[in-house]
Amino acid sequence: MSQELEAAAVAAMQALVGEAGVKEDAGIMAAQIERATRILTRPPIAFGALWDKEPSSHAAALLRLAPEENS
Amino acid sequence: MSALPSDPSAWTLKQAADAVRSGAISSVELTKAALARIGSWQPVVNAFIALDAEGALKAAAAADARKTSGALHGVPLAHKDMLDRPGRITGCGSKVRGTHVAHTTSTVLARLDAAGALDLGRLNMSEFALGPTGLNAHHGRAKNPWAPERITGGSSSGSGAAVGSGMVYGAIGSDTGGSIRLPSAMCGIAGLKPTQGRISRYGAMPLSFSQDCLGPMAPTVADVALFYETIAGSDGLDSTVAERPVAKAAARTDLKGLTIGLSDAWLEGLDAPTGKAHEAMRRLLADLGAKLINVTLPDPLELGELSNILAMTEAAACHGDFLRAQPDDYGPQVRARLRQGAAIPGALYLRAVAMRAPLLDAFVADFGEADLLCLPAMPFLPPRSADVDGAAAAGGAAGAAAIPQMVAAIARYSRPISYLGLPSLAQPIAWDSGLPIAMQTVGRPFAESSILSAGMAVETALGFDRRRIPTLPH
Repeated sequence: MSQELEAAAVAAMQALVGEAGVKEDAGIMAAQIERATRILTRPPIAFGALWDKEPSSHAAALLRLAPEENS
Repeated sequence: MSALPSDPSAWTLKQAADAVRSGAISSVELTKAALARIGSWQPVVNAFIALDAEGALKAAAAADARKTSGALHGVPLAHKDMLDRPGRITGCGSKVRGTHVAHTTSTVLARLDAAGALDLGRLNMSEFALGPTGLNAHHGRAKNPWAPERITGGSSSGSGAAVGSGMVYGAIGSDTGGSIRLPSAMCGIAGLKPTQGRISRYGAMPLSFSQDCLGPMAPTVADVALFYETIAGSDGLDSTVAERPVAKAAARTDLKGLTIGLSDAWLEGLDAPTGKAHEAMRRLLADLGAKLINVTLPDPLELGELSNILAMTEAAACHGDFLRAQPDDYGPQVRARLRQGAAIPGALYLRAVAMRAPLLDAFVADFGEADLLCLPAMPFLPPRSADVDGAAAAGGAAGAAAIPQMVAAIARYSRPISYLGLPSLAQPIAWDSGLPIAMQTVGRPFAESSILSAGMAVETALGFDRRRIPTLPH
């Protein structure tokens, strides 16, 4: 990755959550990126299955999957 | 009604409500007993951030003077420090919001007010509801009433400690990744995380819009059912609440006709006392007439990581202004956890959002013919604070690595259910060395009444329908 891109990414993070403590918190932030990246393969999702999924699809699924007798 | 214990602190919520309604005790007498208990136990468990004894006694006198009787008329409760009431501080367990005075009434408090309940004050919590241990850099941690050197669980730490120690008859908690279920499990009480969209969040502190739930914590499952039916249901002030009517949980004493799903894989890695308790629970479920089937569920840690991505990214967005303006007013662990959300690329976050619907479909399909699932609430007994808060507070690289590992271990079985948005009831199933062990019963969407009914059958069979309160440590 280029230095320009790294610098821009760090600047964006600092703009969002401030500069103080960034050095101290760099370890947990790096670990979070590493763990978050794993969702690209785990849990497995069928290729292309998220094409038309937007945030309200979860709320709709909860209503669709609710048993009738509990309404 | 069976004979009441002589000490009102040992009454369940239902017993207390029935006693006030019948005139067996006045609300003032009940409130004075609660205040006396608080006087003895607050120095031990640090459950309250703010106690309004004078206001509570005035409200109790007013309740005694009224003839109108709601379901919780004259019963002393107290709630997590994150619910708005006009003219009162909603501190969120923090320094950053420590002087914020609310202008509105949160819907859950309004419904409890309408039911006649008393509100004794604001309860301790993990700072901004962020943390499964109850660690709080500003107010000090709440302590487990069964063993004060151990954690209460979080983030509804004060709610767990206050109900578990017998100070109050119930408390609202919030749950984003386990924050009702974990303190309920560790403090030996019952707690319900409802389906996403079942209980209004209007006037409550946000942490993670897509996973935050408010819910009841109380001495028994029957109490939680009463509490839940008082606060659940659609709300014109919160468009995320479903319009579905709220079904009443029927009391039952057996599980005949129910099929319960169990996961052998989710029992792996439990400590010996917890594993033994769950084996005994399987036998009890069968004895009560349930048909037991084994179900194959996904890796809880993978679903838990997805939950964490949602929670941390959304929390970082909420807190951005405060993190920039007053970073030193956060506890170091909370600041570090909030800041990690800023590191997650937006597309990864949205992928985690989009994965919820297909993974929920798959998980509900995993139920098979099961009506509900009985799963562990915690993998181990309540840990000592020094063992879980100490390492994470050490700072540096070791501390940075320790925080996510500690959180993932404690919330191993709770975060997956938050991600999926399903209802889950935590309740005690055994005691070992004086410490509670709990299970969580997970239902299909909006099946709160089913899991509460099943939970009542289990607690009655175990004798846990009677309130168990600790004695003061020497």
